[in-house]
Amino acid sequence: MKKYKIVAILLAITMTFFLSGCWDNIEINNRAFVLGIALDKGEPPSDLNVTYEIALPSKIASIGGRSDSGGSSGGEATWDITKASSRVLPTSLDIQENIDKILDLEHMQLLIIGGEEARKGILNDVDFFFRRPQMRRRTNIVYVDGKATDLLNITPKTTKSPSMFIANILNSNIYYTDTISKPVDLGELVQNIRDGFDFPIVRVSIIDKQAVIDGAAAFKEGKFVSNIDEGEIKVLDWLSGNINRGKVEVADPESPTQKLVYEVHDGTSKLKPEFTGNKVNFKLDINVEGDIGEIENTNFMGTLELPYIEATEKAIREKIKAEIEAVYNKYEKEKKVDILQLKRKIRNYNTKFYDKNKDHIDDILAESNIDISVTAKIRRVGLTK
Amino acid sequence: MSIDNPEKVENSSMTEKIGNFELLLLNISAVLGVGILSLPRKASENAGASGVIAIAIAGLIVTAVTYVYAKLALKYEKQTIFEFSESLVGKYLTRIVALIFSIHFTIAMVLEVRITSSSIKLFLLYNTPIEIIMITLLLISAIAVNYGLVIIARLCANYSVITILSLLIILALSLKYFDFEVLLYRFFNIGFWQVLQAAFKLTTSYLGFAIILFMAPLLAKPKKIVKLSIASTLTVTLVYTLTVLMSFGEFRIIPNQYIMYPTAILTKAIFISGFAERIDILFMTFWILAAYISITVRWFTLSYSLSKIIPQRNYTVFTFLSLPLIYTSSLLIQNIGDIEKISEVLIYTSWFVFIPIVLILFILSFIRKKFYPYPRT
Repeated sequence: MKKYKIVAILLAITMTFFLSGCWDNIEINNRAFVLGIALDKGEPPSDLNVTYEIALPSKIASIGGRSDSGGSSGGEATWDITKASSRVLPTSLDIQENIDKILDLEHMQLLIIGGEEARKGILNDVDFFFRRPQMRRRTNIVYVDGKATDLLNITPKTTKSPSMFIANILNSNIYYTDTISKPVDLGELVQNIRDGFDFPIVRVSIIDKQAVIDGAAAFKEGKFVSNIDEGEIKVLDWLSGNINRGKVEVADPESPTQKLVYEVHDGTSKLKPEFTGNKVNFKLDINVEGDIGEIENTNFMGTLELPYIEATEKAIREKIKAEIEAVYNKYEKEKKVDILQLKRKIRNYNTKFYDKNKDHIDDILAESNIDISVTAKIRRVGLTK
Repeated sequence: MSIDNPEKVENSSMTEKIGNFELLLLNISAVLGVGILSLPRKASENAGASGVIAIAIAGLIVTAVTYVYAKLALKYEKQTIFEFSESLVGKYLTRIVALIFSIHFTIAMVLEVRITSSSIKLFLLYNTPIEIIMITLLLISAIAVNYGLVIIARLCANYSVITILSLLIILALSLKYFDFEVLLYRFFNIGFWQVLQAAFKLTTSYLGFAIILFMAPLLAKPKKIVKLSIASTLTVTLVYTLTVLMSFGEFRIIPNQYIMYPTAILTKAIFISGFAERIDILFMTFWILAAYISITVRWFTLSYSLSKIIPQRNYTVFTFLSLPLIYTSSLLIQNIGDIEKISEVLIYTSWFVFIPIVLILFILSFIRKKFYPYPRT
């Protein structure tokens, strides 16, 4: 019995060595949490400049935003470190030369792509992010016309980190406006690249050290090809099937020189391709409902009259139709950039057709037409008659 | 002879039998292991958009095989496969059968240990040497194997429900990102024969139901074995088909072929704004439990088969004797390419060796019954 006790005690002592930690034990305060990464074109021989925005947790915890000098009230809340290399992975290792913590990508919020790098093409830059097990699939991606690093130097007034500020806007505000396109995240990006589809990425402009979501950037074969205007973004949503919110400005039927703003609250859409031989056309059905949000003709009292409502609904229908046709013609027909992701529709509905015509699908889309049918309902007029 | 550890049988709790619920979950747990992580990729690689159909057909094929297994187990409800095999084909042929079973289970076990350890290293323990992950996994499995099948069944009843529920929650949360248009894909886009071929390859994902042939003497209600075994195969088929469908719906068909572990990535993709950012951590915890249980079941069948080649009353001797073999063999696998090759071997051992043997025994059980109505023991 005594022998067993000694063995048990020895085992217990040995266990303490194994249970006290493991190879992967990194205390939370020893981790350098990366909030955002900016990719810019580098100078030869390094093709790429990668800037890491690293959180300084003790400073981030306090309430408020950044001051104009770049720091928060208690000093800077994030630390930007730039490393140059031909690839992303070496920079993630080299950065350990600069910091006394271990780089952690598990909470990365934003990947920023600079203008020059986007024009060069991002296909070679993104593999690291797809391959890394620590990466979040929901990391948002944005495009900046100039240098991506500049976005990390903005001074948001409500959040300490520029990356978190932009990510918060993209995650929450898309439900309250029609000028922010559905953000393309890492998961969506990898799927579009693998499928060989064109895709839009949210564009951010920097004005007086403040960031503004400013339409989107269209990418084809991984390269930036065109800007998409802010006003055109809602068309992307209208075709996506799930319409959240938006606005349509029409001429007031009662006083055509004055404006009426229709506020969309809800809606659905269904886009279907129709195949005839080697040609494809599209049929779009849109149903939107909302309120009269604002009229310029302030003293008008006839908003409850049925003829007025019907005339307004007709004007809204025509406007929506015209806006969609304009975007369709501009991008799908003239620029041959499939920002409406019609290729996906074709493949989903007729894989055989898609596989057969894959090589000249852009030409087929350029010759295609869209038949739009809109139902717009005015449900309320607000608090004023 | 009991297939539980005879030394432990003296303990009163060990003499208890496996209940219906435990039987159901033991069968499910024996199958639901590490394979589910890469399942959608394999389905997509083998059958393209028809992968959803292929995995469902594979499940139905395995259900048919399970039916045969369960019928055999029911027929000889007081015996395990090697005991009734002895009465059907004699002592020496039974030893050869046990040898073939042992080889098959060893390959399956080595593969499972390697894949589980590699995945743990990739997703959770980046810096821990794989040798340490493997030996830890094997040692904790050895404890459960040592306690016998009844205790393993209890483990399944306690933990597998959580694993299955967590997987179903993950699939439900993934609906947010599901592209319903993927359902428009013509599922039979590669022709029925090719779908069937893919289904045969995918049956390796369902390996583990052989446990039915070892459990009959321990069942509280052996008469239920056929119904419950089929229910468990169909449950796994449903879970697998849903997993592949959700993965196809979220990642689409071609991107799925690029992703090493689509099911794991499916959990990584879930993001509930303002509430949860890394749900995958929770899923991984439950998934390790599932992999651990499936390895334990596999190891039990291996040890028991080995104890029939060199007859031994206590199979646990072989648990510890096989440990160095499994450990070193798992270490000998150099990379992911080796894993893919060995998986191919496993398809052949299961379809061309393992299953035919059981079918021959099944047919013999009818012929023997005709000529010798009382089984020879």
